[in-house]
Amino acid sequence: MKERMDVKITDGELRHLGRTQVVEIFDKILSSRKRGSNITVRLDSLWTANIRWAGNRVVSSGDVQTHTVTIETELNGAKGLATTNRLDDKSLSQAVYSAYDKSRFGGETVFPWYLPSEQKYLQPVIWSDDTYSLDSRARAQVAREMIEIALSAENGSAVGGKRLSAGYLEVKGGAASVMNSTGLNAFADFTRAECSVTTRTMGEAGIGSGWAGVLNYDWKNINYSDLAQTSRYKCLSSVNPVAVEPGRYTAILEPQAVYDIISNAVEMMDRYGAESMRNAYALKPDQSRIGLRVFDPSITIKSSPLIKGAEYVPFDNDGYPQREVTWVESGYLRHLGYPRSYGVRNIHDPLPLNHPRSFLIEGGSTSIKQMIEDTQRGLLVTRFSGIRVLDQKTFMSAGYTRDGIWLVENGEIKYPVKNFRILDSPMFVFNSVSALSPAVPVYGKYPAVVPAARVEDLNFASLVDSV
Amino acid sequence: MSLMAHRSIAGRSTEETDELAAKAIDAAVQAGASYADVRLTLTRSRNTYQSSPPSEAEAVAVGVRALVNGGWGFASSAYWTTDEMSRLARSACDQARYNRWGYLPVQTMDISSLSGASSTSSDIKHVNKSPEWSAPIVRDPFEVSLEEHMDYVGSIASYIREYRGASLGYSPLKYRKQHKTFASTKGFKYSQTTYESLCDDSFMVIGVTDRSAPIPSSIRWVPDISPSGEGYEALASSSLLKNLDEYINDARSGLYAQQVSSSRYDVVFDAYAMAPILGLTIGMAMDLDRALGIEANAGGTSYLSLESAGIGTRVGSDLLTVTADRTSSGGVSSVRWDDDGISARSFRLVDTGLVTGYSANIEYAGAGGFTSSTSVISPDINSMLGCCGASDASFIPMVYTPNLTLHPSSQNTSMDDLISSVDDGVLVKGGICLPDHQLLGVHGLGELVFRIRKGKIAERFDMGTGYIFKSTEFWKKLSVLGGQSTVRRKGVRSSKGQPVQNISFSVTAPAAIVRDIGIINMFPVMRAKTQL
Repeated sequence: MKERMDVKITDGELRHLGRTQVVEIFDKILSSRKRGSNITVRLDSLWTANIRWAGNRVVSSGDVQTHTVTIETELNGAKGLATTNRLDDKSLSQAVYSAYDKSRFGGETVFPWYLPSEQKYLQPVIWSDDTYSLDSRARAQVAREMIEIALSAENGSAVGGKRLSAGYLEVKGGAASVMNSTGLNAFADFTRAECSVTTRTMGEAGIGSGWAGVLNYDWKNINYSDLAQTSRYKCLSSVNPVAVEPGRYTAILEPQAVYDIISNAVEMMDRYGAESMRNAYALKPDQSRIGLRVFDPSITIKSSPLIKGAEYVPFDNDGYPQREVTWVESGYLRHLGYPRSYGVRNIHDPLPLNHPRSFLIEGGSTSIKQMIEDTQRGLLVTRFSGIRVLDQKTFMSAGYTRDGIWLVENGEIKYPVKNFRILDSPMFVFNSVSALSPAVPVYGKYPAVVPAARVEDLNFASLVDSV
Repeated sequence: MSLMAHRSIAGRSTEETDELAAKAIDAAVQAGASYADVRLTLTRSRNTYQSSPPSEAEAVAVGVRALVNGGWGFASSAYWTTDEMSRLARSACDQARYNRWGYLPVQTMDISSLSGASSTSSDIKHVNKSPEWSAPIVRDPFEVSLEEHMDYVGSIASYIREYRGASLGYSPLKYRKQHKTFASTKGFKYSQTTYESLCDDSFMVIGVTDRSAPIPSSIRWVPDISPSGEGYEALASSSLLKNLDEYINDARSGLYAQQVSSSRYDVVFDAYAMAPILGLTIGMAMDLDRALGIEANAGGTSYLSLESAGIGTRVGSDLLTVTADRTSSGGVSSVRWDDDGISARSFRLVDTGLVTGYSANIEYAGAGGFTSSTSVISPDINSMLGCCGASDASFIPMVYTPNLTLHPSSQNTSMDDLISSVDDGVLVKGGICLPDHQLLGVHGLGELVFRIRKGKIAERFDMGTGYIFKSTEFWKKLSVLGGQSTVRRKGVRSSKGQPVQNISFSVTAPAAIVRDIGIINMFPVMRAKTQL
């Protein structure tokens, strides 16, 4: 991992706390430690800069430096927790006091309370100078270029009606660190960039909307003019949608649509929840579906700090290593996440297995174009919006299609159709997958790499008029 | 080199924070700002849980926003020093210069004539000429001992346990208190303290288990637990204790709930079901930024956009009159002054079914084009201001959804009156509302849904029972409003903006009858497939 001091700083200003400052703060906190007690300090320091545009002009931008010091104490088995972002001596010692003070509510011994000492971590590349050095002038230039692409003429002549670009670009760089009184010393610098854009048109030609977006640690890996082109193309080709009958369709889900509908099911891979019949990975009381088939045999889901495009900080909030895990292998459930207490108590694993937030769904070799050509009748979906899990036990989810959906017939895209409200569970949708494209990075809360998929049965429950 | 050496931070006196604020404003003007404002916030929060120890947090932030030749910039950090004020002001102005490029000029409202934070009224203290205000709470939650809080929740848990099979589930209860110092180049400055009790993901849930019942377990969300601008009284003086027996029985009746068959019904919505529907399909739809398309790449646009609706447009039946405010005592969106420095106010969003206003800040109030072509109402833009806000000074201010009030019937129509007037229908109590990206297509789940037969509550439907409608039709079908006795206030949570900010606002609504609404079985697919 890169040391803070190695980081190229273009404008000569410190924008997040480096290892030296972090250690200094940790040492101060440790000096307030009570005898016989333990302290864990988590320090997250982050610089975030963004630019936002709408209606073809920049509407806001920001440059924000934040940090959070979380202090966890353990005294005779009772935990206490306090958080501050004030770094002066007095504030830090007050926070330590506040944490110890909460020990009185700890009740019986918290199990098992020995802290991790030094750990070995995977070594992902998660720092990009290109991300950290994208300054406000460069960000404004990107916004300008993306707006110009949205407004550019089609084959030399503008399609009738008003065209509007709205988008968001964010870059951040920071340090995650966890240190404790038993020698743990985890530190990682990381960056992240995200860019998304919506193009809308309205007027005589009708209303259309298109979108594209992606998230990656490295700004260099984000082709923003491609995003602008895609969003513009989707907008122009989704004008004047036709209402088609709601119901179950074969669906060609673009990678973003796959991510939108499956990410909750991946993030909720929880072993204890399954064994207590509280999620869709439950088989019967005290037994999860580990070892059984839960998805189509073409589905393999992995997570690792090292997966290209889905990289992340290689340790968790307590300083335990993040591992390389194959959660679902050819449709079979292999693992479910658990906290350390579960691991120690139930399966002799001294380490937690954290739920995947960044993940990879392995791709196939069918292009979206090929999927369309192979489809008799189906819907091509750009993405979903407002997806919400309504029932934890089945992951039954509801949401809406957004920013471009087309009817595919006899191997061709026929015409854009009106948006649908959808109601289905990813556990059903991904049980019948007939093709996968190569996996690509998508846009989410965390980085993820996901293929497009043709699924045989998705419930497009009713029509909505929104564009 | 140590950061702490030159960036020491600590709680400052009012004089010191005022000086810091003044420094930021001076620096912004020097850097070329035609308008600038600064906010310094100190936010304390307290989280309590049923099963793990409570925790407390504090965070300081300072944010400077600047307008240079029509472009905006914003910079923020956690360091309260004079040097940092200058750095932030310069950064905001630099960004603004690069951002002024655009196809359209920025139409920020001329606010020179507006009354801002310089007014004198009885609830404002003047400290060194800077007005100071604190939300009128009964008990500061941070002065209530954790023991008292835990005892109170513990006693609720013990009470519930006396019922066979019943227990209090995981119940995180959270509180926040924020002190803010504001100054702007308009000469507006103030300090104010606001509270958010039972905020963020606070909830309280009662569970009932009975293995011999058709459905072995059922839960009831305690409706009294929602974000509030009150203090500790939001928990301790709520009607919670009075209604506990009812809530436990609600949870129990879920064990015997039946599947609904999808159909259209006349529906009685209680106040807690109306609140999120009104909050999302009227409140957020009429936030001026959303109506202008600023949220197009985030939450979405609005079916009540200025282009498609506008002042004078009919959005509902004559019964629909909605007041927006940031002034009501205990409202979670209430402030004395907003993040533009403008005095909080109260205004009509909808009057007898016609749009009369939008929730605005100075940034967008100058946009113009508020009025639909057929309108006979002329907008009073000044009255719609005061809706600028942000979670804290590390977030850029935006249009912050105000509290909303749906005016109840002046008749003394009770819940029983509403139910008994429905021959064949459905009663929906509480639940969640899930609109699409234009807030037009809506579906939701009722928490407690009952069949009404011949004016009486009959069987209960299960947790998969939902409603579906188009916002425009829903409000036009609003047919009977309940009277004052059916009115409740609920804090509605949502999010908006990029970077995303969580927001909450209070919705005060009566129960109501809405005719001919689709009631649907949300889980038919699940049932069909899981039975295979």
